[in-house]
Amino acid sequence: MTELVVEVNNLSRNFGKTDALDCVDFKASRGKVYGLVGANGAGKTTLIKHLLGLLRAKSGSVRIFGEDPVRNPEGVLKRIGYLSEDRDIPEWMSIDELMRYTSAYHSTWDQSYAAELLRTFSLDPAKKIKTLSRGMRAQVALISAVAHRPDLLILDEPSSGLDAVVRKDILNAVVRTISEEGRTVIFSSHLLEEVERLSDHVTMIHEGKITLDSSLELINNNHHCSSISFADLQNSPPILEGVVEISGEGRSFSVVHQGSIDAFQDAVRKIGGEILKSRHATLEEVFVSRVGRPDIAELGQVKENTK
Amino acid sequence: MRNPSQALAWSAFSLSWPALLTQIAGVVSVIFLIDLALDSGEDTLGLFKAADFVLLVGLVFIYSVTIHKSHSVARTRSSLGFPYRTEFSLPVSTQTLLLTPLLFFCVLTQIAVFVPGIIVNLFYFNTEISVISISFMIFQFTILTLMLSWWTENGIASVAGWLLVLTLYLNGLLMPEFGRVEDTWVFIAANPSDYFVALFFTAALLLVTYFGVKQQRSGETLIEFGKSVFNTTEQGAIRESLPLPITDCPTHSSIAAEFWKERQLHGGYSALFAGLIGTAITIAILAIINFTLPEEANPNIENAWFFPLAIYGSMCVGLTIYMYGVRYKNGAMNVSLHDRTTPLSTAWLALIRTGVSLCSSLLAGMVMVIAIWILGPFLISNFEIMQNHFLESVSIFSGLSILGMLFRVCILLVVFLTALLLLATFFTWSMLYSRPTAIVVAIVPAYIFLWAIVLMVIYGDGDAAAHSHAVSRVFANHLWILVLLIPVSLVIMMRHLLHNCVLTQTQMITLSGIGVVFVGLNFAWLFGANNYDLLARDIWIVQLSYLVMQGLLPLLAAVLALWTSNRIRHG
Repeated sequence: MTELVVEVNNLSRNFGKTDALDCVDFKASRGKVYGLVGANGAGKTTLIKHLLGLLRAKSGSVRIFGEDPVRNPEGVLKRIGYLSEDRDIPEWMSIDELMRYTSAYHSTWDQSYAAELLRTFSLDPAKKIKTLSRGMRAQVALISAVAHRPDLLILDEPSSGLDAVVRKDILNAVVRTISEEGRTVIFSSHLLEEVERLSDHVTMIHEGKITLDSSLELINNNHHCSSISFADLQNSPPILEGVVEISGEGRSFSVVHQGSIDAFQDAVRKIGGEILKSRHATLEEVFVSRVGRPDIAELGQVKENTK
Repeated sequence: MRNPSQALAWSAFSLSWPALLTQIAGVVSVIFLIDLALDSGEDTLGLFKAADFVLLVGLVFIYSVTIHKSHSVARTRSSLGFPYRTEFSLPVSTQTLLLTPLLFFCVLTQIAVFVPGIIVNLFYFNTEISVISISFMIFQFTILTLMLSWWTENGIASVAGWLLVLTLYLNGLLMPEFGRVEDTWVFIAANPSDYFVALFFTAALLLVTYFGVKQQRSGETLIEFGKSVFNTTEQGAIRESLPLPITDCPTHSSIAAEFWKERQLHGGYSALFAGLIGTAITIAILAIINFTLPEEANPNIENAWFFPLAIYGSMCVGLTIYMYGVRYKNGAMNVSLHDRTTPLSTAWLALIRTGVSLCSSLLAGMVMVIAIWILGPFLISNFEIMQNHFLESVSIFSGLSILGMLFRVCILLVVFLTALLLLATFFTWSMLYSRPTAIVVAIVPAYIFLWAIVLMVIYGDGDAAAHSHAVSRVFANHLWILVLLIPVSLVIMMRHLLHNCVLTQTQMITLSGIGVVFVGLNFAWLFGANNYDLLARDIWIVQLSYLVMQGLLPLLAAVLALWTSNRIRHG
């Protein structure tokens, strides 16, 4: 049986009248990379804050390494590396001071790994953090999050502020190294291509609810995008089992569906149609079909990224 | 809206009209209630004085609320500097950008005084009003305070500006000398030409403000003291600016590292800086007072010790207010995620932060006393009068044994630290939850005021003894709320701390034990020295409970600090 690093059961949280999280169950086991996907305000950061003990579980429970992060913040946080979305690090320190300061909290701090990453990013340890660019700050924050080789690495929008080279090569390398060492990585991102590239497991959150929680392989195998056509004119989109999203009109429709492709083919035939072509759905297609209309900003990001 | 001025005025108006309506309604209703209590018609003079006071409070209310709103919307880092920063990028000239809000606030304060003033006058006094004189006073008050707040972002330059304006004011160059006709709202300027002098200086200051805002618009400052050096809102700025050695962060222990971090941010550097700034302000104020007082009034300078004490008090609050790590960032109060995710127990974090803040406050006090003691004789004439007064105050310790002295110092220290801790916690909560705090802060005096009115209405017709007794009874009965509130809140917070494993049972017992020792010390001192005046009153059980409550305050402060730290960290 795989060891559970994160165990969230039936977690709910509301801010005023808004349900930020609604009966969320989430589990993460050792050695895997988990991608958290969702629109703005879906509840990703709220879930991450609960994992870090920054929010108390008012309903449900959160266990990290079997412990409550609120009751034992020291024990839990020592084993976690965290990169916050706004790269919140003490700007008044120099890079070297931050490295020394962070190392004091982690007996597992790997000085040579930190130095290697500093060299890779071409960062001068004597420089004050407040004098660094946004991207450089992100790099410093990333080093301080990973250099103690944490058992659990939590990255909140890690790509934000990183340039394309760093994002594609270094971040990938860091995340892969961590997971290959048998450690767990949880990261949230708007960049679905990145999630697809890095994750073993994808969790989609929409309006505080988990809408999809599965391994990437299973999602790929289980979701298809098919073009179907009918001999007769259809007044309304056909009703088919397993359809997540359907678009089109008249005789041709484009369908994102889940389940076996054979079963879907039979179902289409039964109502007088045929599948013209079919392929595995991309994560973006799955996301859009499950979440509905993505907001414009995200569409922009997704398109930019997939160019 | 046809032009930028209208748009700017509309934006300012949309922020301030609720406050304006509240202020007008508040002033009129409070005066109505006071009239009710004074039994209308029989004591017009008392009502008149009360109306003066209420109008002034109303003016300060509307002014501070509207200014605060414009700053919070502008998301400026501090209350210094021109608040309409988001409008800097609008296609509008700097003079429009500056003059529109300036004029708007001047009109707003005029309305805030004249509308309720005229209503009250019509109903109760029917006296003459010097529209021009009063209007001029309000105008000067508004425009000067606005210009002084807006002309620079630099703290030191701002303080210098305030001191300069204070000097001009004390010399009658910013406000004519007004004589008031008794029991009226008629003010007569002793010399009408003073209006022109005042307007001349105000125009000069307006010019300075215009250039100040123009510079701010292009990201510069009018008077360059070295922005990074004196921008104390920036973390670590003081450490960088003082020529003191910077130690390396220890890596052997997390507690040592956290202690190092706190010392860098709020330790000796901050204490030294605050102490020196406090000294400079104190000496400047004392020098101005000394300069403006007539020669024969010089002995009064001994009472000027109030200023350094007040400055030190506000400095202490400034030094301790960051102990919970709550800072103003991007227009909102927040606690850094980095601080909240520091892998150290909440108890250790609270202990280190509180310890450093409180030690810095004491250190800043020492720096201030030493610096004023050394510099005072050179910069303030008759400084020895203040020195003697101070030595007299300290002489209460002279006749005591070493043990007695230690005991008193210990008690004083505990009282000082308890007060600082409670104040810092209160300010932290009010920063995090400004609206509920404002409501509570408004409700409490309103509640007291209503009781006073009720008692005046019931007993106001002559029976002074019955009235006084009723006041005592109401006071005593309400004291019960406080008496019960402290132990009950202690129990609730302690349970919370135990449940969240912030403290272990042994630690909790130790903390409570220390708290009980303080209760004992408090009793010993109060009864031993017969220092407790409430004991002379007649409701002994309340007094006794009150004593216990007072002794429990140090424990309450410690538990509250831990509970607040835990709440801030874990939400």
